[in-house]
Amino acid sequence: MLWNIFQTFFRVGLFTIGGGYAMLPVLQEELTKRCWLTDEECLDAISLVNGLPGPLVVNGAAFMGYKMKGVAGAFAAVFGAIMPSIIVILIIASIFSDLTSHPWVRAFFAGARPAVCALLLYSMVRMGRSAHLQRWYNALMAVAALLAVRFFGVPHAIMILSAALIGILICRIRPEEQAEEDEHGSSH
Amino acid sequence: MDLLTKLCLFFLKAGAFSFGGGYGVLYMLQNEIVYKNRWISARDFVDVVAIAEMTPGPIAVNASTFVGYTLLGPLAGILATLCIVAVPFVLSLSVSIFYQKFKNNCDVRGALKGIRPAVVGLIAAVSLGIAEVSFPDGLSVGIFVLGAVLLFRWKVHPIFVMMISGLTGIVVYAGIWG
Repeated sequence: MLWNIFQTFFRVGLFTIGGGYAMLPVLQEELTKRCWLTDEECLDAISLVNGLPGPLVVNGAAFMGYKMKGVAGAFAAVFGAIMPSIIVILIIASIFSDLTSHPWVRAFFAGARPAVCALLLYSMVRMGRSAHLQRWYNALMAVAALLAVRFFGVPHAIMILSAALIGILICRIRPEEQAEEDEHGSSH
Repeated sequence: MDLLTKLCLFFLKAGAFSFGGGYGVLYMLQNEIVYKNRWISARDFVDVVAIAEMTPGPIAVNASTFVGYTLLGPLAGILATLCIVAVPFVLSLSVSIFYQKFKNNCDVRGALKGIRPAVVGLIAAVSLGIAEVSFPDGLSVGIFVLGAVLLFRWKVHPIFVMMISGLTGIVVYAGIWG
């Protein structure tokens, strides 16, 4: 069973190219077809670990692995999920410096860099939607966070903790607004 | 403190604060790896992001393996990766064990809600840093526009956007047609 869990998540890790949400359909398919978890359990798992720090694949693997086979299952799932990345990146990193001396490779990355910017912009817009930036206090929080870390040198951890505290305050003062966000909520 | 210990502590911390998925953690990686410690150059960092985007697995995992390997070899690469997933792993496991209690707690929900918009600000911050080294000329602006159109308008998968832009880079910069 542990070996099966490892294999399944290895496959999921291998096919997760370009970030978290890409792997959801793959993962759901794999787990439900073996009747390890139901569709609802998968979605619950993802929405619960979604807000935690860490890559969604890793968090999802830990959560689901535990549901399937306890702590050992969680370890098997997480190792399976990160193993493909480690192997692939170690191979690429070991040849990277030789690669980058080649003019075509340099040209490839010169072309890819502006695309990385476009990609960041894209993910910013998508996350902005799920973070409800149309509400003024959320928009204010985003701008404040940018100014704090980029222009006032506030350490990242301090900024995250302050944002969490402010979120708690808002929840205490106006719980009804947040509940409303939940209803219209998750765009994922 | 030797470099390996420093590296591990940094990636433990980075993992603990990597809210909002891969792009959220990029700010912290960029700030400490490039600007503070100068472990890799600003341009190599963007290339790592591009590679992470085109290879399987979460960006945070890929970037940590890459940086660890570049600095101290394969074992450090693996160690850095284990460090960056350690805290998220423990937290997710705890949520799995105790999740009935967490589910409707106002403080937990509020904290997560407060962090979400802040992460958008973080991504904006990392984008500014990346833009600084990504636009040496007009052609790169053109590629940016092309990438944005592919992503926003045609919903092309990010991996293909990276591929197309990279190949465009080869055509226009290495001049295989000219």
